[in-house]
Amino acid sequence: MKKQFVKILSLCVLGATTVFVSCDKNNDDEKPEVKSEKRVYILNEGSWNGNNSTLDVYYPDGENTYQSKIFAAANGQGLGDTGQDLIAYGNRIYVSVWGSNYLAKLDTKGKIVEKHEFTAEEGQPRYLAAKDGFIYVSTYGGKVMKFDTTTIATSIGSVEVGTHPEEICINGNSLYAAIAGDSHVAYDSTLAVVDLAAFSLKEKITVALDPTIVLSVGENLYVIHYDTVTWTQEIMEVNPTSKAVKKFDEGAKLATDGINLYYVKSFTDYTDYPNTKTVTSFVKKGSDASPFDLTSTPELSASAVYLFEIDPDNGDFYIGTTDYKTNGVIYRFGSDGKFITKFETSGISPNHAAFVK
Amino acid sequence: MRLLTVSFAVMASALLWAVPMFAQSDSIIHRDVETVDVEAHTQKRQAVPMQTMSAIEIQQLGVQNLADAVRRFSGTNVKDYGGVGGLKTVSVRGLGAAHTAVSYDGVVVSDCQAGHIDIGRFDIGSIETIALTIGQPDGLLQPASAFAQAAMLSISTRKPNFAERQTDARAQLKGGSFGYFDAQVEAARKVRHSTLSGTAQFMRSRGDYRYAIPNVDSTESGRRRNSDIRSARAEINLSTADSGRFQNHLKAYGFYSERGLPGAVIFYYQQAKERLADKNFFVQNDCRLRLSDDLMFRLQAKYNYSWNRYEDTNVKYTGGRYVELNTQHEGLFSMAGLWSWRPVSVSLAGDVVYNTLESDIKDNPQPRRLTFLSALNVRAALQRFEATATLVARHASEKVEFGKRPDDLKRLTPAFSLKWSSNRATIRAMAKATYRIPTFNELYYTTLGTTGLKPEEARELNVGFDFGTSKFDFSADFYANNVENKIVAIPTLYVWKMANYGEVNILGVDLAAGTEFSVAAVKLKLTANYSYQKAIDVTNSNSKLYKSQIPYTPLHSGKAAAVATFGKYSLSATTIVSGKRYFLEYNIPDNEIEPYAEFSATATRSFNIGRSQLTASLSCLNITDNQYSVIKYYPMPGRQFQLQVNFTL
Repeated sequence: MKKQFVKILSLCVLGATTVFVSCDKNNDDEKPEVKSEKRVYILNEGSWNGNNSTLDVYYPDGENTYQSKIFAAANGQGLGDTGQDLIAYGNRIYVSVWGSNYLAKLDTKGKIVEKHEFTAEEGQPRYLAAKDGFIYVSTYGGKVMKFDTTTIATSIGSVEVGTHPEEICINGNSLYAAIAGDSHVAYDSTLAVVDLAAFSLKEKITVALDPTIVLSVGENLYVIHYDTVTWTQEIMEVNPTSKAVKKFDEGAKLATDGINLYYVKSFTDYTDYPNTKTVTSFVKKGSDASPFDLTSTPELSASAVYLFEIDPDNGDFYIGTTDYKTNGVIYRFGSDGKFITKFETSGISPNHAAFVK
Repeated sequence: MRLLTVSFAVMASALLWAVPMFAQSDSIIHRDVETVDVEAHTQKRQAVPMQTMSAIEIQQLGVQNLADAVRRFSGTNVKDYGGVGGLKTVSVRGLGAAHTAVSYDGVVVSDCQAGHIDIGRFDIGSIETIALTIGQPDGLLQPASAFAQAAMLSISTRKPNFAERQTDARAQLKGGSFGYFDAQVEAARKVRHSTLSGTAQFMRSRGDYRYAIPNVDSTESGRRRNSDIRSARAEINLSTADSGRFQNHLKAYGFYSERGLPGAVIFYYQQAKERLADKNFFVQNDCRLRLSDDLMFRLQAKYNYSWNRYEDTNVKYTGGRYVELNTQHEGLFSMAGLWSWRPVSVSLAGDVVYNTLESDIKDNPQPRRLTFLSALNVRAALQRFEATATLVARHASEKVEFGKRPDDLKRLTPAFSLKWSSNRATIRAMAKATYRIPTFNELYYTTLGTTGLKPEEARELNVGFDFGTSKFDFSADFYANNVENKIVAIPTLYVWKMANYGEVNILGVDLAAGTEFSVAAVKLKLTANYSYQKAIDVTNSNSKLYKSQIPYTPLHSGKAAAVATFGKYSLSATTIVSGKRYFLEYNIPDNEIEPYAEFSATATRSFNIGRSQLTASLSCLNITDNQYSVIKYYPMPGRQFQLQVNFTL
């Protein structure tokens, strides 16, 4: 998603961010338990009111090993209720926990370095983005809040963007927030555009009803909204300059390797309702004519996709599934679409992954 | 089919009036008549499992509320969200809470919006008996609705006791930990064949009890917040009885409560601000006519109004606040007749029920439901054997202001029971098919509701026996239940929607034993029961959940109580034990809820003041201060004390 872009960026500005890292109070003197190889952090959302959100780490190189519940192991307490989003930035992991209402900065072992608890006025946290040493968080207080990575204890600014902002992404000097609206009253249908230099609301772009996912790829923004008539999720292509909006395709999740848009087609068939059938059929690279067929992995193709991320380093893609009841399963494919492996996570509904090299 | 069921209901009603003309007056009293005539049932000698608790036991055992009473029965699963104001629903033998009907002084209580009844809101102080019947009540002279569900919880309120006076009065005061206070008064006056009585009650509780919940290597502890409740209740009863030929009970009931909903304990963030206000008013009339020894009628009418207001404060809502208002109306009319031609008795009942929901929930189509329900029972008694066959027909149709409405429901369901009894023993068998119809929330609640839902099916089989002498009794029941087309919320890629999905097989055993004996001047009564319940998901053999135990259902559970009475003193000790359960469908250690045992003790003393009586009880509940929960992250109160004083004129 938009975070992949951020992750690419983070690689580019690694030098700069190392400065921030060195400012942190770190446990460098301790011998880290985690191996010094590439790591994929996986956030499991858990079940509502279950206090069962967990953080796992997967080592994709070498032995393909997997460590479960590293947050609980590092902190002696659980992540809490409903882990919402996860990004890696400057050798730190940032996690927003919606139910338990906090943003945490973690070291690579998953230990809390710093925490921000949101006030009733700020609202519970949703999604994350990072740029130039700052972390941005959307909240159900209708805000995008700004934090300095050196200390996240208090925020250094906030912008009112609209009711129920969901995913956010950064392109150039602008931050875009999908504004879903209050489902009890009326859905919204806009993207809020925040000028990062002034940190103020610049404008709103009308996209489609109930937008929740937004990702920046090249010149364009891609937004997923839910069509309440056809019960499908549609991808809209938005040109932020001309404000032109057109339907791109149907799809459930978006990701980018920094150059191309990838999306996964997963939909629930209601024609024989209540016997619904979820079909996850392919991953498609932009408007490429030959999508990566996922039907060779029958379990995946019959499951609902909840996580879709691309390793910015080698282009491997990770697809996580949910049934909202049992532990999630992650399927890893190569950049060529070939199935590599699959593994079970430590919790229900894995929703985001973050990559650290 | 519509014609068939409607005409069945109409016929039932017509017959009720027509038959008296043909009735013969020289028939002999049938044994069944007694069982339908008497409100106070006995636990034994029934064709279906039945458990009861009386007012005396309630006080002696220090039972706190109706949910606390019902969870002492075997085979029950009370979902208790903790605290005085926490939701409490009762499900029986692995069937969901909406399969259990609740009746209050003979008339069925319903909630078409939620389906289940919050039994926490009925006051324990004014109860005379509680009876839980699996299957259906043994008595045949009942409204059709009593035969239409898988289990029935019957609440009977206290009847005035005049002795040789014209006036009866009673007062009760209760106080306890966490700001609990309850006061009620009751007065009754006898005028010739009629009794007029009135009750008024006020209750409040802060409910801010401490909890401690393990969190990996640490503990989340604190006090429950926003857990307070205030409620008030008033009842007026007018009972008329004419030498057993005519009995009429008119009741008016009003209830108000306002409470906080503390919600689940969410780690690191406790800002529960949800509030719920309830108003309930009903007036009901229950009339029995005995035209001859073998011909009886029963007529019921009820109007029910219930209203609730839910409010949550959070910056996430437009304007910082969300309010939901719901109003339900119900009109009920029922006629039942019972004829006896030895050795056969036949009863026929027809109910007409009209329900409406007015709600300001977004997209609520203001549904109205009209239900015709008929029940035909045929019972044959031959010496020690008795066989009963029941057929229940329902026709339900709904109207909405806009959008889709469900198809009309037309169903016939049967039940059979058989018993053999002697003076000391009963052997019984029962088979019953029932279903629950989708609630208004399941059908219409904004994006969640689905009007295409079918009823959730429940099938029950039971075989059992009981054996008893004046000093000892024992009962054992073995059952196999099946639930199909479960009504559940199914997540899709984006929204949750209600659907019929899932099948559960339940196998269980309920054992109960009791004994009464005296040691010197001390009378001892010991009771214990044990339940085994294997309730497994058999929906899909390819699923990881196949054959896993359904949530909140312990494999093993048991209860025990001991009461010692010595003159005016009584002392009791009770325990409730539950094995491990899972709070989610997936049976992994992460989803386990720890086993628990709760111990309580109560001391009671009575005093005579002239002709009046004063009874005082002191209870210590959850003596060991066990930090447990029935529902995950809804902790139950730790150790608490309660003092109760009853005064009877």
